[in-house]
This record gives sequence, C-alpha cells and structure tokens, in this order.
Amino acid sequence: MKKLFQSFKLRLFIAIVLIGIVAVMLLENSIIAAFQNKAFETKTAGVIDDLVAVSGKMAAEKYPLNSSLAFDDTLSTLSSIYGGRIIVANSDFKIIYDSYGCLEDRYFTARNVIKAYKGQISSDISDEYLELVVPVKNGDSTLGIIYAGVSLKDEMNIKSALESRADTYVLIAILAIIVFAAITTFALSYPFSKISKQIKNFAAFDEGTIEPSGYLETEDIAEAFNELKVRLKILDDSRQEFVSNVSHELKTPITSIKVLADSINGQEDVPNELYREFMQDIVDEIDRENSIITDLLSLVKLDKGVSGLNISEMNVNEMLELIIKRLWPIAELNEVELSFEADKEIYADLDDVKMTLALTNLIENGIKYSNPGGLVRVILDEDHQYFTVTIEDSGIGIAKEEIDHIFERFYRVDKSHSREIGGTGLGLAIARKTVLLHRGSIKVESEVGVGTTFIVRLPITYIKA
Amino acid sequence: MKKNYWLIICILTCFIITACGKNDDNTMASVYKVYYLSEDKLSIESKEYEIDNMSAADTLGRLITLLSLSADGGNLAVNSSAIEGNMAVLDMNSAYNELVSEDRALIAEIIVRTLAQVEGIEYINITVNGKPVTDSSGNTVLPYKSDAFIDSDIVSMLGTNTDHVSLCMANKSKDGLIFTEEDITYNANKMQEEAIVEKLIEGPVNNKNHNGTINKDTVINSISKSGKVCYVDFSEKFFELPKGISPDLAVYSVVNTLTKLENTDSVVILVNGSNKEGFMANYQGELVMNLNVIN
Repeated sequence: MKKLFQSFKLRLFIAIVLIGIVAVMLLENSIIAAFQNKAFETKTAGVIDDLVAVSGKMAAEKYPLNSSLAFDDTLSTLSSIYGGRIIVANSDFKIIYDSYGCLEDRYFTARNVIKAYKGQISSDISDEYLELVVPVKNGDSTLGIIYAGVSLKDEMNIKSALESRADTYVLIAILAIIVFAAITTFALSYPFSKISKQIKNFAAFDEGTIEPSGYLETEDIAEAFNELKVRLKILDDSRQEFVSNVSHELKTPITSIKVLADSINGQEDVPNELYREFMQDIVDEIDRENSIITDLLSLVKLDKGVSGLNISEMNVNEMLELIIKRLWPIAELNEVELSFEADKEIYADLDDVKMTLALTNLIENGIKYSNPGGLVRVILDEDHQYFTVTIEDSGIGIAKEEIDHIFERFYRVDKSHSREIGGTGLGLAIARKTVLLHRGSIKVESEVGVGTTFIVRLPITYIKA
Repeated sequence: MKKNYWLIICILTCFIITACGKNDDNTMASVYKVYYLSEDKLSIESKEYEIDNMSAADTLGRLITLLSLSADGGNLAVNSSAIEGNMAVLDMNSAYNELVSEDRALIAEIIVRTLAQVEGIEYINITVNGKPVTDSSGNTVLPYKSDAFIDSDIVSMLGTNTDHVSLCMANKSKDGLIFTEEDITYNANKMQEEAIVEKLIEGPVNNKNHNGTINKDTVINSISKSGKVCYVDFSEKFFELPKGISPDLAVYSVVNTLTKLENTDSVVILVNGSNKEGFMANYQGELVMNLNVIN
C-alpha cells in the first residue's frame, strides 16, 4: 500500500484530481453565491419599490396618524404576496397595523426602525427573511414607518434547486477531471515509463540503447545510463581479456610439459642424461606455472581492497636492504650491478608482505630488463609526509605508446622476449595495486635504449579512508 | 452646571440607598439589567448590576438611581417615583415632553425595560409633573405593559416566537391520529400556521408512539388565511405518503392541527395550487376538524 502511494503517477494523478475538484467546487460556490446575492438584491429592490409606493400613498392620506381601514387590504395583500409580515408603526413607534393581527398597540423601537424613522431605508437579510423598514414621510415630518418581513423561501428553493443541478454538473466535471487526470498522468509520465522499459529490456537481453526522449530529466537519465553501459562494456571486455590471458599463460607451461613428456615417451632407450635434462625442463615449467598461480592469488587478495591490508610501522631501509639482498643472485646472474642509496632511516606504516612483493617486482623488473653490465639504482628519500623509492635502470626502456599499458595484467612490452626474461606479466599490476592501496602513487619515466625510472611515492603515516 | 448638580444628587442618593439596603437585608442579591441609550442614539444597550434583595420600592429607587447615572443626563430628571399596586409610576420633569419622538420612545423603552424587572410590577406609567403624557395625535399615552416593547434578536427584528401547540400525528399502529403537545420556536415573521405545518412535516422527534403523516420532502408553497379559513398549498411531494399512512391521516392531521388553533375553523388544502388531482379530489373545499380519525 505504502509502495503504491510512492508511485509518481499516483501522486500526480491525485494532485491533478484534487486541484480540479477544489477549483470546480470554488466555482460552483461562487456562482451560487453570486446568484443568491443577485436574487436577494433584486428582491430587496422590488420590495423597497412596493413599500415606497405604499408609503407615498399613506403620507398623502396621513394614514399612520389617522388610523383607518383604508390601507388594510393593500397591506394584507402585500403580506400574503411576500409570504411574511407587514407592520406599520406611527410616529410614537406604536404599532397600528400588523398583518398577523397580534402586535397592535405594542411599541417597535428596533435599531433599524429608528434609523428608518430618521429617513434611512434599512434592510437586513437572514437565511429565511429579508427585513426592510421604510419611513412614511410627509414633507419634512415623518409620520411613521412600514416594516416588511419578506420570506426568501422562493429564492432559497431556487437556490437549492440550482445547487442540486449544479451538483450534477460538478459530478460530471469531477468525472471529466478524473479522466483528464488519468490521461495527463499517463502522458506526462510516458517518457519515464519508456526509459524504464528500455532499461528493463537492456537488463533482460543485454542489448539496445536508451533513447533520450521527452524531458531534460529523462535525457539525463538516458545519458547517465548509456555512460554506465559503456563502462560496463569496458569492464566486461577487460575481464574477458583477462580470462583469456590467464588461460593462455596457464596453458603455455602445460603445453611445454606435454611436449617434453611426449618426446621422452616417444623415444626408446633414452639416455639418462637426456632424461635428466628433460625432467629439469619440466620442473622449470612447473615452477613457472606455480609462480603465475601465486601471483594471481596475490592479485586476487589485493582486489579485496583496503580491508586486506595488514598495516604496521616498518623500517623502510631494512626492508629495501633485505629485498636487494634477496635479488643479489639474480643481479649477478644477469651481470647487473645493484646499488642502494639512502640518506636517513625512514619508518613508515606499511603492509610488510605486500609492499615487499611490490618493490621486489619493480627492482626485479629493472634487473631483468637491464643489459649486462648495467646498473640498477634504488634510491630512498623523504619528502615531508611522504617517502619515495626511486628505481632507476639502464635497460632497454619502454616506448612512449606502451607506457600507458605496462600496468595492465599480462601486458608485455617485448612479447618476443618474454619467455627468456621470464616473469608472469603480473608483477607491475601487483606493484601498482599495492601502492594505490597504501594511498601512494607510482610514476614511470622512460626512454628507449636509455633506461626506465619508477618513482614510488608513499605516505609515511597510513591514512585511513 | 446643572449636569453636575444632577450627578452629585445621584451619588448621594446612591449612598443613602446602599446604606438602607444593608440595614434592611443582606442575605441575597439579584442581577438587574440597567438600560441606557447607545452612543449613536439609535438603540438601547444594557449593563448588569447586582442589587441586594430589598423591598420593591427600594429596588425601584435603586434602579432609578442607576438609570439616572447611566443616562446621558441632558435636562431630563425624575421628580418622583411610586408603586401603586402592580404599577410603577415615574414622574419626570418637563424635559421629557420636549424630547423628539424617537428619543422619547427609546427613553420610555429604557424606563419600561429597567423597571419591569422589579417584582410584582406589570405596568409602568410615565407622567410629567404629575400630568399624563400625550402622544403625537394628542391622545393620552396609557400605562406601558411590562412587555410593551418588542424584543428584537439576531434572527429577526421582531424576535423569535415560542408557542405551545397541539400537533395531530399518526399513532403507533398508523390506524388513527393522536394529539401531542409540543413547544415550537420560529422566526416572528413566519405565520404560526406555517411553523406548525412545518413541524408536522418534520414529524415526531424521539417519540416512538407517534408517526409522521407527511412526506418529509414536502415543501409548503404558500400558506395564508382569509378570515377563519386557512389555505395551505403543498408541493407535489405531498402525494407521496409515508409508508402505511392513508390519505385520510395525512389530510386530517393538517386539518385537525390547524383547526385546533383559536382563529381557524376550516382548512383548504391545495397541491401546487389545485385540489383536483390525486387523492385530493376526495377532499374538496373547506375541511373542518374530523374527530373520527382521532384514536
């Protein structure tokens, strides 16, 4: 029920109907009030005319002074025409004629009577009767007053007949308003219904576009939705690409293992040395597969976001020294020199395991992509609330157009050499994600043939979101 | 200067009366209305005073003092006052005769309405220097009855009438008519007969022993009297009788009720100006009270 009332259409409908009904009612009332006023005015004017005429005749005959029966017939006729009472009082305010015949000899000094005596015709209207007092004047002297209580029954009957007829029209008008409100509501809300239908259609069949139509508001919705659609598409594409990349990367070592195993199986009397050599190759491939899976798992963990971080205060110098110590054998193997420069001891809030992995990846990359005899410099520096780790190599460098893609998963700059260089293609993605989770930034500067510099800038104190 | 003397005298009188009153009786007090002329001199207004219970003569004196205090002095003054049986006599100075007609009427009303509250007083006689007052035609003004002045109210300048009347309605089993006494209140511009017939149309209120005889939607087109004959004209709804009511009951409930009034001997009933249609064809001419339908 509550939900039904939350409907925009229903509210609009009710609003239109209410406004319409109020307007019609007001109109009806004002028309009837105008009629009533007009009817009463006309009646008042008519009665005043009658009374003034009678009072003129009376003044000529000095009627209120010389009480006679001459006017009784006229007055009683008027009384029955008016459906009310006629009273005449003399200048002593003593009643000398009452059409109902029971107030004679009593005194009539109501406010309007005194006013009339002083020359002012006065009238008063209640629901049932119009009360008028007219003076009987003979020159300057006032001989008395004529009072008429005139029934307004006819006017009220006409009014109620009019009201009941008006009620019928009002009812018809209200029905018309309801129909109008229904149509208007439908028409006004059509663009919204249309857009909602299109979105539902898209949700069901994953196709079609949202056509902007009708209102600025619906255009906004359509635009926003279409934007969302494009972003969803990009997300979906990248996921598909990722899945295909993962499958490919996972499949490569397995294919190698199969080839190696098949070739051993296919030969008879294989020499022991060859066996050993092939088995070593198979072990290498398994190691590679293992490292890819490990990296994927790390990435998945990073995807969990900040909640996955395990922050503690670390000595960054010690951390970097340990990493360099671990990478020393690889550097020697590649005939690359490794150097570490730091002016002071830096302590920072970091997730030890994840940050170690990230920095290891960056330095290892520097070593791998350096030419023999090259140098990889790791420089630690502090800058107010941040510290920076700069990893500078003198390797092959990265082309400008590739720089934007190097942090993508499984992206390889040099696809042809990827196998010799090794690695999983996930290292930079892991490094970037880790740095971002620590609310830091990672920057790359590179020139082909000269070398590449990664600058990692991290806050010393971890800022919670 | 004259005005000041008047005031001083009044205040002195007031003290004396108050003192007397306290000696006399101080058990209870009653509320009296003292009337005075409105500022625009077009009507009268009143103010309530609490006066200790005392003899009628003392109350009268007290009220006259209060009247004098609240009156817009002028030259008007009270010479003396007295109670003669059920009549209060108030002798005014000659200024009373010099008042213009409307002022004199309102002053008379003020005096009559104020003094009529004294217990036992039914008439008020106003004299000037011991002589009776004459009206504009030269006739002697007779003593005013205590209700001589018409009471206006919000409903009408003529006020509201309340009458105790007998209404003739159907009995419980709807096979006869029965008289029931009721008080009716109506605009004084309305004919008593009309108010009564309206009450008949309305039917009994909270009375299970009586039944209405006329359709409640019936409208009285007109009602008039000529001598002792009352003419009632109903709308056509009169033909649509309430359930179980015969035409006899409907017609004679109206006739019997109206002829029960002193000034009415017979009734002519019309429907939209004619008595030829429907069951009214059987009720031609002047109808008199029919006791055969009374149970």
